[in-house]
Amino acid sequence: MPDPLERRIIEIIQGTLRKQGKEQNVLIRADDSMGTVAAWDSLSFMTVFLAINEAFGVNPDFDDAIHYTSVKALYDYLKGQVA
Amino acid sequence: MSRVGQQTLLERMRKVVTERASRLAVREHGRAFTYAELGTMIEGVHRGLGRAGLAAGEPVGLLLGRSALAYAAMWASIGHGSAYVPLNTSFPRTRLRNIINQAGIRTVVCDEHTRDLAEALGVDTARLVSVAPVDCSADAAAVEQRWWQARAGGNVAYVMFTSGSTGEPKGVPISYDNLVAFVDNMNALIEYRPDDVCSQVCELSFDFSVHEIYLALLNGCTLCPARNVDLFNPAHYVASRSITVWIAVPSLVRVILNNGIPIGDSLERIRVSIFNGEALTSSLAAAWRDAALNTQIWNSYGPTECTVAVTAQRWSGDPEIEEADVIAVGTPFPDCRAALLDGARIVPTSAAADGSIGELLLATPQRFSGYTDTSLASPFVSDSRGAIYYRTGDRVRWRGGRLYHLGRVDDQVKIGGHRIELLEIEHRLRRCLDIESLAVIAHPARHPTELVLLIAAKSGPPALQAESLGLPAYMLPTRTIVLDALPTNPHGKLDRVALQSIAETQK
Repeated sequence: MPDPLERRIIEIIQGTLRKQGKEQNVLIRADDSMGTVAAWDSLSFMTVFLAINEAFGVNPDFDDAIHYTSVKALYDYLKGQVA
Repeated sequence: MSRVGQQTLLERMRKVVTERASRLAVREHGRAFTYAELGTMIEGVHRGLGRAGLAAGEPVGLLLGRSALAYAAMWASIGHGSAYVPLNTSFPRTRLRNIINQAGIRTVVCDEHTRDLAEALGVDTARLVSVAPVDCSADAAAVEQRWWQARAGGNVAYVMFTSGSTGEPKGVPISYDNLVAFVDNMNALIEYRPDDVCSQVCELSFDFSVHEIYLALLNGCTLCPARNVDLFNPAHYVASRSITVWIAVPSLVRVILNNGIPIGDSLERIRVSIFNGEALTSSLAAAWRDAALNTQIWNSYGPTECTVAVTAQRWSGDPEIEEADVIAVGTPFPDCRAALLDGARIVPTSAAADGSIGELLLATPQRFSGYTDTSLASPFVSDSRGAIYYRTGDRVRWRGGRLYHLGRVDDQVKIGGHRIELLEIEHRLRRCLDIESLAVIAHPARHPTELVLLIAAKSGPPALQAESLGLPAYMLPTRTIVLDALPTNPHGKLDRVALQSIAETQK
């Protein structure tokens, strides 16, 4: 059973990348990162990061944003917001 | 048109803002606002609405999440005599446009995060009101405040859009008088103390948020809007904000209890827990009482059309007030007349035999006057003495002076506190998926927790995406079962009992 937070992160990344129109059927898995998904490139990186912050009501931490390039890193980032 | 309700609300809020000026009104994550600052913020939005050319009585869309700005916008709208309409940013754009068109919204309050969305929804930039960064500066505070001077407008405080069986969301306008009646009834029953710290976890488009917001602010308490991320660790949110009044749907408590309470996070400061929106089982209530040792537990009930809640029942573990593990929703408020519809006969609960079952009817000062879409079927019935009742569609038992919720008489369900018309989902799916033979059921039948889509198809399950279907995420089936054909009863109608059984066996 996937963690609900992880599931939501995946939905948001997937939805954001699909909206960008680069790959309409892109599917994201828990172990994915910018290195494994072609559509999640440097141009869409900030859009994904902002979408995550927006969806979870979090003020973006731009200083460390460069590290949030995988589902797991985003998960840890959000977990850190509520710990 | 009477403006007593509008004036009453504004005068009460002005009194709180004045008398508790230096006390915390809203505590967001990382920043907080006193009542004086909230008053300044209300004035800022109030003036912004005036500059945007808001006409008397014209509705205001709130494209905002849980925040001090959203609360300020609500009070500013009340000052203008304008109904506010919460626009949930997580809804698909097609649904938001539908709500904007139905409500006739031209003016929208937004913030820096939602401004782009407002423009994408077609709102004229001249009619966008944005008070960001939140202007509580000394200069702003020095401006004479006029938001509490009631401007003559309409009599509607807010409009909530709920799921509609016609395939479109339907608007429920709640008047100032309805809102005052609700606040007074709830205040008479459950004590709020000025030092209370109150949770705010419900989406603003869900009317339980009205309970959270108005009871907290009108009692001078501190209101703590949760960020969406907080809802993934609600125990930490409760503990870190020192919440004393906790208002939630039972599902959220289930999340806390399932996740376990993190070490160092204590729920002992909670002194009042109020539930609504779903069946509250005694086993869940007991587990919650064990987790939050000092809390009173209240179960409340009411349809959006009768302003959040018309009953409330305190639970202390007494098995007499539960049926099949589900706690009674309680006794109607003193000014609420309840009756049961038995066939065509209206039987007031005062005359009903103990144990009677029927559709619940409500005649109360909290009852709305009708949907924004006047072409919808009337939801009212009158008795021989001319009393007008709202037909709730809820099946109840009247026993021992209390109401017990038994389910629905139609295809509407509640999951996670969200009211969902199964027919609306089916209508959308048929149109968007181009599959005629389908059904959506709520499973399990009593007190459902999931939506299941059953389709007759030769191919695999279709992909369901909220945006393309124009449905909010909570209305998307979480499970799809593909069959050769859907079961029918001897009359050729869809056999929903058989569908339940299929959903049960094909987990």
